[in-house]
Amino acid sequence: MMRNLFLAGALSLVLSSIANADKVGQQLPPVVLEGLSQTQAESYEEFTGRLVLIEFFAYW
Amino acid sequence: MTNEGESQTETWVESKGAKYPFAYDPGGKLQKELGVGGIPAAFLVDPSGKIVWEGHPGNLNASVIDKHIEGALTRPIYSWDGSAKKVKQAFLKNDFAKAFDAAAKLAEDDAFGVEVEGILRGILDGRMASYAGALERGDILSAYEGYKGLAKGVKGLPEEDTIKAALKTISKDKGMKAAMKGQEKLAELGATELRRHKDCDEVLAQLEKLLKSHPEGFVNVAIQAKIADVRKTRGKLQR
Repeated sequence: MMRNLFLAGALSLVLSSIANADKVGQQLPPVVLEGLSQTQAESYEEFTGRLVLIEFFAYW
Repeated sequence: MTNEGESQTETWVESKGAKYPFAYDPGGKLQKELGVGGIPAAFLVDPSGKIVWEGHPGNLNASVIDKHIEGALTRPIYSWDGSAKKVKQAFLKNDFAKAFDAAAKLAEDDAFGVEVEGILRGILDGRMASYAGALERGDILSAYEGYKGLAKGVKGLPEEDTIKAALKTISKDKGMKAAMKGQEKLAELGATELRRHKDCDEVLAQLEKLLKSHPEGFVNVAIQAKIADVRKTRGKLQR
């Protein structure tokens, strides 16, 4: 199983919001990524200052 | 069962028509740090680097996005060129003092510089607040490493004294030093590869021992969580 992340600068999903607020309010820890693709950014830091959606996905 | 390589992932992304940037989380490090249990899982991170929402991506409401998108950079850091490039280079080196200087120069003839100054301030404030919060929770290691990482890049800024004072407090306080040592040991034990029951039993014995030296507080809770985690792994493993 490969686990990856999606980073999106903007998005438009509308559904009810049920947050389990475990990490909410905390600073995102330093992020080290490999193989960042489909962007000019060379590291996660270059997304700083934007509103970022990080999604962990997997496929089987 | 990681036998799917990058080529398969790229094919998969293409087949879904996803235009988003994507990347690999080596060793699932970020996933572990964020406590991701089930997939898919999503986190919304505001412009200052703070997690403002987490949950199933399908549950993300547009109003949450509207609320946090205000104040976000209109031009992402990776696209900065010309004079803004100097700000970018300093920022990526964690040198806030230099980044602020470069942003102030940029602001002299480009309104974007003012936006950049505001964002830098927000990011620095966010980081400082997060380390202060970690210290308060008893997560001394995170606070220490955070402050240490920032120390060189805030010369001449008001944060310089705050960081110096905090690092001094941590290095002089016996309790904090002990907590940090416990956290380092816990991280070391957490990195042990668990292949068989025997590996788990050895780590569990050391964790129990560590737990006795940290009978309360943040470190105690973290050790207990790790013990539960290793027990769970043990249950899934064959002898």
